[in-house]
Amino acid sequence: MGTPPFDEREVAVLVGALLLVGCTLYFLRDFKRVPRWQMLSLAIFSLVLGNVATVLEHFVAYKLFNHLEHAAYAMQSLLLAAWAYKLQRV
Amino acid sequence: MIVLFEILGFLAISGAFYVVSLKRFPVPQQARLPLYLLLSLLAIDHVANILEQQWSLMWADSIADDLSLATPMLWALFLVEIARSHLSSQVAGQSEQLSFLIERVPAAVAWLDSEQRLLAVSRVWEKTLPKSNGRLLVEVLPASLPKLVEALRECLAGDVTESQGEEQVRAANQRNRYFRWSLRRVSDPERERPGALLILEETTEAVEAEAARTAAVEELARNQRAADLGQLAAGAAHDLNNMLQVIGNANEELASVAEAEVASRDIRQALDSACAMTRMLLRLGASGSQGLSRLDLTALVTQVEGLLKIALGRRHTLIVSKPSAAIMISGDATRLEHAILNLVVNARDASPAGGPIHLVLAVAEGVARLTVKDEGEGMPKDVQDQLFRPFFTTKGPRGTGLGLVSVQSTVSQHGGTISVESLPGAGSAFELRIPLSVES
Repeated sequence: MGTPPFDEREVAVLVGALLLVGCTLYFLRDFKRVPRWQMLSLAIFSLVLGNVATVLEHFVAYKLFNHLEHAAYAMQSLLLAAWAYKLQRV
Repeated sequence: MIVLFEILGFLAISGAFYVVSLKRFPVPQQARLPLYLLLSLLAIDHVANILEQQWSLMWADSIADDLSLATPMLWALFLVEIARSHLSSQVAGQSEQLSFLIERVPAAVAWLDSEQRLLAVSRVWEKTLPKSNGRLLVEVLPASLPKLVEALRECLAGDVTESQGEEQVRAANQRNRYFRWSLRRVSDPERERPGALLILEETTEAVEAEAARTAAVEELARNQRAADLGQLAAGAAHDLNNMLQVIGNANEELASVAEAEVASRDIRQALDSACAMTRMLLRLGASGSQGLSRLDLTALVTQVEGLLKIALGRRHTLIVSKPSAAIMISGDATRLEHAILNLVVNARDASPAGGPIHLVLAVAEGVARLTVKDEGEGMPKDVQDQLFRPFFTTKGPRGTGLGLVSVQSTVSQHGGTISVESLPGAGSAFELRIPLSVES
């Protein structure tokens, strides 16, 4: 299977994800009030990583970044689930 | 491999769905909605990716890409709601904790808002100042405390962070009341403007107890001085008595000589006086309740009335007020007679222009009260403070400064107390309080 065509929506999602990171850092003091906020931070990081890999896969090392993209999205879901599980045990 | 990642992600999201839907999941409903939306979107994304990877369904890939656009937005919405709900719960928790602490603290504590209105009060406060909650502080204060009100105003205005002070106010019954307070400005998490915590304590009882203790210590010191003086006098009187006995014996021999008879009589009179004086000094030195017997104080006053009238002379009138019933005490009649005589003579000397001298005998609160009151010159406070000091006198060379010391010594030996009330120009009143005998 060859490299799929570049989609502008992937860049829009990446910009959105970076804005989310910016806002989170700006309101970090309030964000830290959320229990187990570190897990949520890692989940957001995984989201950004997946988005970056989604864009990069069109330019270099398609197979590697494609795997990284799906692994990062899976990691995001796992961390979100782990956060919910930990939270209900607080 | 990619399909495995997506299946893993889908299973994780399914688990998260289950956990979030549990009732005990500690997130309020308003924050759960964006979380459900985010989880739904991620679940659909994983399913679309599985379909695309496994069966190359391009429409599924397109759906996944479209949904991905909303992912950061839903994340942001979820984070805002979850942070806000936790902030609210923390604030509510802090307010609850503060209210709990204020309520349980064993002191009169009140939490005031920026308008000086009571938001919460401790149980001790509620006990002393009931129904305070929600009212203005000035409406519930037990007395007008202007310093406190001013300090609170400064505290709420932000001029000071904390302050403390004491205030003394005169109550309607002319009794002084004492208060101690501490104030601290506190941020009120649920209100825009800061409030204040107030600890208010009435210290009237403590201040009065301290004053009573100081008076008791002073009286003890006075009694100690009088006792020391008495011992000194007793020692001197004992030695003097021995010498007088020698002189008396020699005088007996002299009396047989005819020419010396007149001189001997004079010596005998001087000896009798000197012996009487030494007996008095020995009595002054005596301590404890030795020689006390049951006696009727009413009868004693009746008995001594005539003697007192003679001592007062014509310019003064003795007005005696006593109950008809007997007042039984454990006492020494002679010493009490001397004490009453001493007080009446002092009253006479304090009223040089003449006038009535009141002698009042009564029973109150389990003690016999004997009051000698004149309407003479009275005494200033500094004189009153020194009245029972040995050798202190206001009579000049005529006085010895031992009369009231002797009276106080007598009263102490009877287990009683003496007090004086006097105002310059309004006369003086000495009150002896002697316990009733056990049998009565």
